[in-house]
This record gives sequence, C-alpha cells and structure tokens, in this order.
Amino acid sequence: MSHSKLLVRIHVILASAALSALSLFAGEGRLELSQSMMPITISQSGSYVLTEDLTGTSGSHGIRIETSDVSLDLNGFALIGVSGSLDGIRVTGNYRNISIRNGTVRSWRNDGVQIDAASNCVLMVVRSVDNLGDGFRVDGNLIVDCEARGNGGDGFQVGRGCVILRCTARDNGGNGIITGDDCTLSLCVVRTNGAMGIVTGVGCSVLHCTSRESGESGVAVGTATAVAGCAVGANGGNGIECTGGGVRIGDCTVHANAHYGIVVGQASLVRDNTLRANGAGGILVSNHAYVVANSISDSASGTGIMVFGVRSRIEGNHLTQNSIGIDVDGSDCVIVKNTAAGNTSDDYQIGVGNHFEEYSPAGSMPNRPWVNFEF
Amino acid sequence: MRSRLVSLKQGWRVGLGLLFGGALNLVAADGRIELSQDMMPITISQSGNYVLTESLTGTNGAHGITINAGDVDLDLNGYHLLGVAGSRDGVTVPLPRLNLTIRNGTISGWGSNGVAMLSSTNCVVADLRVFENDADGVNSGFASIVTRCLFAYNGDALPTNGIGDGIEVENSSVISDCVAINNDEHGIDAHSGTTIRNCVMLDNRHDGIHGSKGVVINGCVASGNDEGVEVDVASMVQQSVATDSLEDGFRDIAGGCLFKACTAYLNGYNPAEPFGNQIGDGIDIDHGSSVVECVAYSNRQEGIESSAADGVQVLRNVASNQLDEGIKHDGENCRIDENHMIHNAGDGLHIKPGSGGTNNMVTRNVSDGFDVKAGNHIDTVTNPGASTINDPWINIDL
Repeated sequence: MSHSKLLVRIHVILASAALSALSLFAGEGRLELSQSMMPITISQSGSYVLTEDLTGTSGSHGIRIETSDVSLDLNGFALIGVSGSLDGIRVTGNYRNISIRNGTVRSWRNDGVQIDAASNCVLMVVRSVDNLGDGFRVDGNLIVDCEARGNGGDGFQVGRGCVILRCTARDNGGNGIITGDDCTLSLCVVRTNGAMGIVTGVGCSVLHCTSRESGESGVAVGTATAVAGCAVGANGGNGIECTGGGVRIGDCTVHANAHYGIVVGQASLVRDNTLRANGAGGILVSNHAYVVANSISDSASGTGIMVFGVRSRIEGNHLTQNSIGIDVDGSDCVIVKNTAAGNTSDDYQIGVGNHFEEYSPAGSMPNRPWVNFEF
Repeated sequence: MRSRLVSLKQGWRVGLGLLFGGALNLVAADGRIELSQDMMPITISQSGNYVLTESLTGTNGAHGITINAGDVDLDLNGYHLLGVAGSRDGVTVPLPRLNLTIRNGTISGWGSNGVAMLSSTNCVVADLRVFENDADGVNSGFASIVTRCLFAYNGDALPTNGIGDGIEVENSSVISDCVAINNDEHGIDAHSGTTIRNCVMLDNRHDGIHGSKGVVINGCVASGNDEGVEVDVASMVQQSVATDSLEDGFRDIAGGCLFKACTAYLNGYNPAEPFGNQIGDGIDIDHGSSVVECVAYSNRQEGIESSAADGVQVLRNVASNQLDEGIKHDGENCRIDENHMIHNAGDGLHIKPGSGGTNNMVTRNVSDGFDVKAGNHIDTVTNPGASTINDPWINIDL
C-alpha cells in the first residue's frame, strides 16, 4: 500500500484524542463512519454506525476489523465494492464478539462479509449481495434475518454451533448455506443456487426450511442430523441426502428433484414424507433404515423405494405411478403393510432373503395383517 | 453531541444525579437517558428508557448498573459493559421488580453474574453477548423472554465448583434463538414451564439444557455437554439433537416426559474416563415417559434405556449401532412397539433384569436380537422370509 493510501486509511481509535477530530459521534455516542474515512480499519473495541453509503477502493477491504468486541451498525446503508476491491467487511485475526447488523454489503470483488477468523459473532438483518466471492463467511454463532443473493461463491459459510434463523440464500454460484457441525437452521429459504441448497455438518437440525432449484442437491446433511417440515423441490441432484447414518427425515415434501427424492445412510428414520415426481426415484435406502408412512408417486422412470442394503424396515408406505413401487436388492429386510398401485413396471420387486408377502385384494380383505397390497 | 441537560427540578427526575455523585443527566434526542463512564457505578432508581453512550468499565467491589425500579429499558446500544477484577454483577436488580429490558450489547468480565435479576418478573433479555462472568451469564426471573443472545465462558472456571450457567430463567419463561457455549454449569437452566426453542448448547460443563418440570424444548442442538438435555417431570422434547455428550444425550429424571422426533448420537464417550467406566445412553427415561419416533445411533451404552421405569412407551424408534443394547428396559406395564433395533453390540431389545421387567407389551418390533425374560407379552418369529404371518402383533427377529 502506498504512503498516500496509508494516510487515507483512518484508524478509528476511541481513546485517542489525536484522532478524535476524525471520529464523529452519533447522538448516543456511537462512532460514525463516513465515506471520507474509507477504507476503514477498526482497531479499537466499540460501537460504530454508518452515516451514509460507503464505497470501497481498489486493493482494499471496505471495513477491516482488527480487534474484539465491535458492534457495527450499517444503519440501513450500503457498503459498496468497486473494481479491484477485496472483502466488504473483513476480520483479520482470531478476535471475538463481532456484531454486524442492519444494512447491505454489495459488489465486492472477494467476499461480502468475511469474518470467519473471529468467534462468537452475530449477524442480524444484513444483506450480502452480488459479491464475487462468498456472501458470508462466519464462524458463528447467531445469524438472523440475513440474505445472501447473487454472490459468486457460497451464500453462507458458517462454522460450528450456529443458530441460523430466517435467512435466505438465492442465486449464489456455490452452495446456498453450508454449515459446520451442531447448527440449527430454521425458517430459511434457499433457491436457485449453483451447487447445493443447504449443506450441514454432523448433528444439525434443519426445520421448516425450503430449498428449490439448486444446481445440485437441495439439502445434504451430516450424520445424525434431523430434517423436518421442509419443502425441497426441483433441485438438480437429490432432494435430501445424507451419506452418514442416524439421520431423521420427517414431514417433508420432496418434489421434482432430478435424482432421488431422499437418500439416506444406515440406521436412518424416514417417515411421514410426501414425495412426487423425483427423477431417479423416491427414496434410496442403505442398511438398517426404517422407512415408514411415506407417500411416493410419479417417479415415472424411477423406483418409489429402492433398498440396496440389509435389515431395513419398509413399512406402511404408499406408492403410486412410479416405474417400480419398491425394489429391494438387499437381504434380511422387512417389507410390510405397504400399498402400491399403478406403478408401470411392477409394484414390488423383492429379492430373495427378505420378509415380504404380497396380496392383491379381489373383493375381500385378507386376514393377514403384514401383507403388502397391490391393487 | 445532540444531548441536552435534564433539569433535576423536573418531576420525572430519575434520581441518577443523586447517585452519581453529582454527575449530570443527559437525555438523547429521542428522550432516552444517556449513561456514560463518568457515572459509574450507576444506580437507576426511576422507571425510564436508558441508553449507553460508550462502553462502561466497572470498579472493584461494586456492581456495574444497579436497577432499583421497575419498567426500565436499558439499551446497551452496541456497547460493552465490562467488569474488572473484584467487581460484582454487571447489572443487578436487588429487589423484585417488574418489566425490565436489557438489550443490544456485550456484558463481560464481571466478578459475579453478568446480569442478576432472578427475583424480577416479566423481564426481556435480547441481543446480548455475555462472556466470561464469574457466575451466571444472565439469571432472569419469572416470565422472562430471552432471545438472540450468546452466553459463553461464564462461571468460576474452578474444576470442582462448576458454578455459572450461561442463562438461568425462572418459571414460565421463553428462550429462543440463543447459543450457550463453554459455561461452567449448564448452558441453559430453565425452571418449570419454560419453553426453549431453536437454541444451540455446546461444550458446557454440566447439562446443555437443564430443565425443571413441564419444560418444552423444540428444535435445539446440544453437543459436547456433560448431559445434552436433562428434564424433570412432564417435560416435552421434540425435534432436537444431542451428540457427543459425556453422559446421556437426553435424560428425564422424574418421568411423565415425551421425547419425540429427537436424535441421539455418540453420547456417553467420555475421554476422561477409562473405556470401561464410560456411561451414557442416547435417551434415558423414567416412569410413565414416552419415546416416539426418535433415532438413537452409535451411543456408548444403550440407545434407549428405561431401567426400572414402569408404564413407559417406546414407539416407532430406530436404535442401532450402540455399544450396548439398542433398547434396554426392566420396568413393568410398558409398551414397546414398532421399533427397529439393528446392529447393536448388545441385544436389540433387552428385558432381562434381576427384578421387575415383567408384564410388558412387546409388539411389532424388528430386531436382530431379542433377549426378553419370561413374564412379558411377546411373540416372535425368526427369519420369516416369504412366509405368511397371521399374528398382527408379532415381533420379527432377523
């Protein structure tokens, strides 16, 4: 950086009387940040507020934070990047307790908000829009009412143990929201992202979210994650997938995804979901899973439930207008109490070594409570 | 500086001047009373709307802000209320008060609690980051609302004491959208009738959530705590996840609880204990409780345990890959129905204690190992293949 640029950089130091002339205080004592200070480095803890839109400069971050305990109120204004600029907001070291809220960060040539070096951070009501890198890169821990839209990378990249509430990620080039382990996502909306919609680590909770039209899978979760009450549709990969085990997927609608609607690893519980018109099929099941009370229809060239592992329990599902209703290639599985009708190739294709009994009612109902109906 | 002096002659004087040793009271343009460092330590003795104009640092032997009135709104305004060695509470309310709000800033480094208002009613705690106080991060009274807060590293840090919750609330409170990390006691200590929703509790020394009677917990994640979620009688835990607890993932200590749609994973592995001494189930329930549609996966001991608990229901769960039994039970008059218990190191279902463990209905389960003592109601068919089963209640042993 040139000497002249260094002179332009304003180091906001509350305690410094020498710099106080450059630091303006808002009515309630918050330090005001204005265009004349750009690019800004905050090196003193405190409460800061924008007083106007701020436009960046080539080769610099917009606001660089080099200390802990900073509250930055964008005050409804925008932090706007220019050609050659870096991140909109950047935390440079292992600081903590950074709070950013109430404004827009847009058009930066790297990430919008890049604070993943810091811990115990809070983001509220922040839009990160049209940045070339990621929208938000945050280690944690509270992200509420934020939007990532039109960024070149991921919308949100989030570390372990975050609460992510009422956030939206749309039209980002990478994933919509990607998290570390032990996070909760609720009431989030992701749509038309280039890669996956929502990606989580181990032991997360994804509740009441929607994920649509991602280039790859809609929701991809880690081991022992719970997905409930979500609507997942029209994604380029699977609707909901987990390669690990112990996942619970319930009360979701999964519609028109290019591959399978739901893919689960071992010992997972998949119940009370409604799946329709997923390209490769409805549910792809590994070992030891319990798949119960799902409605699966209209996978015209796919299978309603495809089981390739052992000792899974497929019970009480309703399968219609798929190519095949249930196809079990594994063994030692229990397939009971399902109903299947109108599947074009076959209602059931069950390999040897499984427990399965099929019944086609013709007037009277059987006195065999475990049968699978074909009608 | 857009403030004006407040005349202490006005009838609504807040009494601040009397207690600041003569410091003047300033009122912001929006009418809020400004609090600044030269007023510290501060006593608020009049209802009103207060706002910090800078970060405030405490003094040895004193509380930071003492509230001696009801109907007080204290806006930290993004600033930091910072304790020093030997200081007491950051904010303290020594007598029961009504309608207190504390919001929007950071409270850390106090010698006792970050905020102490356990005897007050109808309090709101919002948008706070509360760190490294030597007792509780925040304790708040009856019917509190706590939202969008972060509580971390509170407590005395003494290995034997374990004092200091992230957040403790009295009865009938609501906690939502909070994170509690590395506190020396519980992450969240919720008294009876409290609702907790959408919170994350990580690495707290005791329980992630320690709930009293009739607590409702929904959509929470607990990881790396001593016990993930422990609740008292008649509590409900739904759609929550407990992983990596040193003991149980979910535990009810008095019965009558419902655990529904929960996930328990890798609980009970305590690296500080020899492998043989490690204890911890996925879900451990007491008399009259229900576990419904949960997943217990890869826990150190049982996936679901209801030892010596009578009248429980265990319905439609997956219990797989534990190092001990999938489901272990030795109570009476219980219903164990439609569970799927596969690939556990012990039995899939184990009802074989020294005492009790009779008169239970065991129906429609699928497992690769039943070990059920005589005196229970169970029919089992082994490897049925394609054969017809006419018994609607039969268990299937693979």
